Amino acid sequence: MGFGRYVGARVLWAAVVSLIIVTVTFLLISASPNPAVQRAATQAALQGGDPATAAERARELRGLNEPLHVRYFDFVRSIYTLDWGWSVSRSQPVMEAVTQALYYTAQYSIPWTILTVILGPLVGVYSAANMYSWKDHAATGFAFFGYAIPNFFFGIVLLLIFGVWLEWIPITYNTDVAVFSVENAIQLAVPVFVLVTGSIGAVMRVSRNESAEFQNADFMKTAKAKGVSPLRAYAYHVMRPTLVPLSTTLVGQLLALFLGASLLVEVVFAIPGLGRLTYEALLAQDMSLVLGTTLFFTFVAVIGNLLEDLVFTVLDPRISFDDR
Amino acid sequence: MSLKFFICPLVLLVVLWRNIEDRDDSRHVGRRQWLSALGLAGAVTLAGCSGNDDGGGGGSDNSGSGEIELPDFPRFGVDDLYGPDAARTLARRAFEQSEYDYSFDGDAMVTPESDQVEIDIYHSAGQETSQLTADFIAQELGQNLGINVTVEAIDGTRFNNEYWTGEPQGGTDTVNGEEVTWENPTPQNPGPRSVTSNEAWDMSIVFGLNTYPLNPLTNEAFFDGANPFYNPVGYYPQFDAQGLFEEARQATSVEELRESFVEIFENLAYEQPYITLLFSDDIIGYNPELEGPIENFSNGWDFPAWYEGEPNVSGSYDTVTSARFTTLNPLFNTEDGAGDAIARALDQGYTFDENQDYFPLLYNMSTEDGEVWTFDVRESLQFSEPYGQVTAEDFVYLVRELHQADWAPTAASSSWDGVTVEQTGEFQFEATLESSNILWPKTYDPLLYPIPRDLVEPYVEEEDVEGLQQDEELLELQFTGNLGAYELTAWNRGSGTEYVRNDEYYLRDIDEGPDLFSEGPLFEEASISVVGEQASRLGALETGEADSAAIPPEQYESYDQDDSVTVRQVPTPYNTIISVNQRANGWNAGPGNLFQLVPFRQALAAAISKQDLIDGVYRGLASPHFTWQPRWSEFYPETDE
Repeated sequence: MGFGRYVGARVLWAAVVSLIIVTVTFLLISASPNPAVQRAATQAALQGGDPATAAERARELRGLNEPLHVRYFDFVRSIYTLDWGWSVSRSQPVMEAVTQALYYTAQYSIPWTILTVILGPLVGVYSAANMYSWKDHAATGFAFFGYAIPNFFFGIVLLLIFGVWLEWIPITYNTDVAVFSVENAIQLAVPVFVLVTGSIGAVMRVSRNESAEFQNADFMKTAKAKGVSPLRAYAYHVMRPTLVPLSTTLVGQLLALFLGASLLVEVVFAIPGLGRLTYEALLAQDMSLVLGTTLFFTFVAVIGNLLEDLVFTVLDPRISFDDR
Repeated sequence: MSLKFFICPLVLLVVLWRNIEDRDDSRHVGRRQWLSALGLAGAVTLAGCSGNDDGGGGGSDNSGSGEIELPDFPRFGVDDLYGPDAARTLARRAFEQSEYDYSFDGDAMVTPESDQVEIDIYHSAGQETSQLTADFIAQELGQNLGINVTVEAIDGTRFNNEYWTGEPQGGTDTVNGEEVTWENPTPQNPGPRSVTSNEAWDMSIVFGLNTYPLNPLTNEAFFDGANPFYNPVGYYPQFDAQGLFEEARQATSVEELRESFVEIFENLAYEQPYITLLFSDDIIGYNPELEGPIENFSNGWDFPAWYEGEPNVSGSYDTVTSARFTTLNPLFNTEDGAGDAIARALDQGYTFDENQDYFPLLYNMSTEDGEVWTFDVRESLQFSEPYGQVTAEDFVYLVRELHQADWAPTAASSSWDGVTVEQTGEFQFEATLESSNILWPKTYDPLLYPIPRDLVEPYVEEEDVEGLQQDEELLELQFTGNLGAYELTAWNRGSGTEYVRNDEYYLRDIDEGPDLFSEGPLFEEASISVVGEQASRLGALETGEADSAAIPPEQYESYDQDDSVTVRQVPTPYNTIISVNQRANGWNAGPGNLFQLVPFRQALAAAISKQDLIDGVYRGLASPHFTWQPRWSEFYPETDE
């Protein structure tokens, strides 16, 4: 199988996976009571009307009386045409809510991801190269500190020091400033720092242990014997094989971090991003928005896995297309 | 500022509960606050809270055998009506009334089986103040009445669903010798005492309630006989509550009203349907440069006259809030916080000044008999183009076609049930009530937002609720013309609202109110930022990024001594009470239900020192609560003090 066909097959598979997810979601929603219909019935009861008639009318208005397959095709069409409904807890279309939140999340998560992906393996390989020296212990200590300290607590402490005492950074997040501006960099510096310290630990430890395997491998000895500079040797001969197993877990890890860690940091720094959006949608039982954010993360996971599969083949030429 | 949202009886439970949650939640989150974390604020301990200095143990069986004469307006929990003597004397009266043989054995109150009385008290899980209050109550009831109280934490939603409310079943029971039927049972009063919630419970401080000091008639939802709208505890009044509420409804003067209410509130103080503890204050921190805030229930009524430094137009008024807004559509909003955000850009019909007197904003209301009310709309009111001038027709259309329509679940729909509204002139309309109510404005029911008829008419014709809810002009307040102090420039759903000064604000040209209204508002800009974490909100207040923020009571002292913040204590009508379950699944200590006996509830009230609770747990930031009104209410019973 050639690279082109392999990519084509993976993309097709990703599309099938997403359709399965959308179908299961539709079935679950169809089986659960519609909150809008319940609200209409309650309202009618409170005003002395007939709840059953009101519920029937609400069902009719929302097209819930249509046959299942018609509703299914409508649902699939709306999902793939990005018409994800109306968020009742925010009074705006779900798609708008998700893109607005993504806009703020991206501003800190892109630098965060880049820094984690670059710094994690670098520190890991550096640690491995200086194994059991004070440099290794310092790097390991730093990684464990970041991993161990709860992000929200670390965030509050930094906010107290740099925001309240030193007044270097603003306390309330300003959504008005331009994305590429000094003000934005200043207000995002601490959240990004907190998140990077939180996520770098795991990446650094995995890459330290992985690269420890490779630094005494035969190809490293050969490289050294040929007089390759240590920097080049580590970058080409240690880092590259280290990244293969690392990349298998990176997408999952980062997704978990996006939802979990970013929620707490968004709450502390008042950033109106995706973590808060999802959490608040769940609390408010805002069905459309819960669905929207869940599908968003699902699609990110599907695409992330697709990219991961593709990246494998680039990083490690030994991986054959035919076996997959 | 938007009192409307905790006064409407239909949203009573939801809103009060939210308010309590908000208040307690702020305290709970405060536990994690960085100042506390760094040890700058002390922790409350119960040591010394008891105040029972005379030996502490509640005395022996001989104590409390003296007689107590209760005045018309007894104030339990202070002076002579506090302590083991008073509490045990009252408890003995209850034992005499009970058909079962309860008694004191040494220090302990014992059941007919000679076991010590053991009961539960529930408090809101994870909320420090709630837990400390429950611990204090347990300690006091142990020392002064010999009752072994177990303190239990519970989630508010779970308590509401499983303990507080029940399946409405209705039924009949004999109350004060008369047969009473529960014709319209509600989850909050599902029937007679035999009808109960799913789970058994004894006592709870999970929920507090509103006492409606401006319009006490609303309290008929709690106390109008044994079968009112809201009676989760199964209280049967032993005085003629229905007769007195009927008198109040028929009153044609404030004096007549006061007479009825004083009698009602004296009786409630005596019968203790809920054990009244205290009214806690809202603690608000302000920018010290800010002129305007007052320590009054009506704090904020004259907001257009507030200024910073000098009384001229400058700067920005920025506040922070914990919860984001669900909608800014004035027709559908039921949230307090969003009400404030709307109020920056859109006035409602009227407000109340610092003396709690009616102050006309968009319209003046007058009546001869309390039944027919005339609304005179100001002629200077303008919507944004193309909607033109605000007239009586807009209000009449709003009430008839939206608030009174079955298809449109507007926030004010319950306020206009049974009211006949008629236009009597271009700027005048009349509302006729089903029965007289001279306090009608104080119910906040006749409070209307101005909404252009032309804007809503297409939705009315189609009966399109979703269209109306999602209309951008309504959601983004684009129609507000000269009707608000500021114009809304941006509503970022996650981070809050921003405003600029409205140069055309109609309030500048009215004759009433403070002189500064003629210049108002006195800020160039305003904003409300949604900041979920309390520590961040307080940090913003300290650094001056925010001009106002709520302060948790446990940090009152540190902020009170901080020059960068001015702290105000604003009284509230929300009470902290012990709800005692008088239904069949209450009193799980033994046979009979002592909570049903007035002297026993009096004994509980007399066993708990209100002042020690206020000083020890609430750091002095609360007032004692004796009857179903705060002290500052004009309907509070007279005392010698």
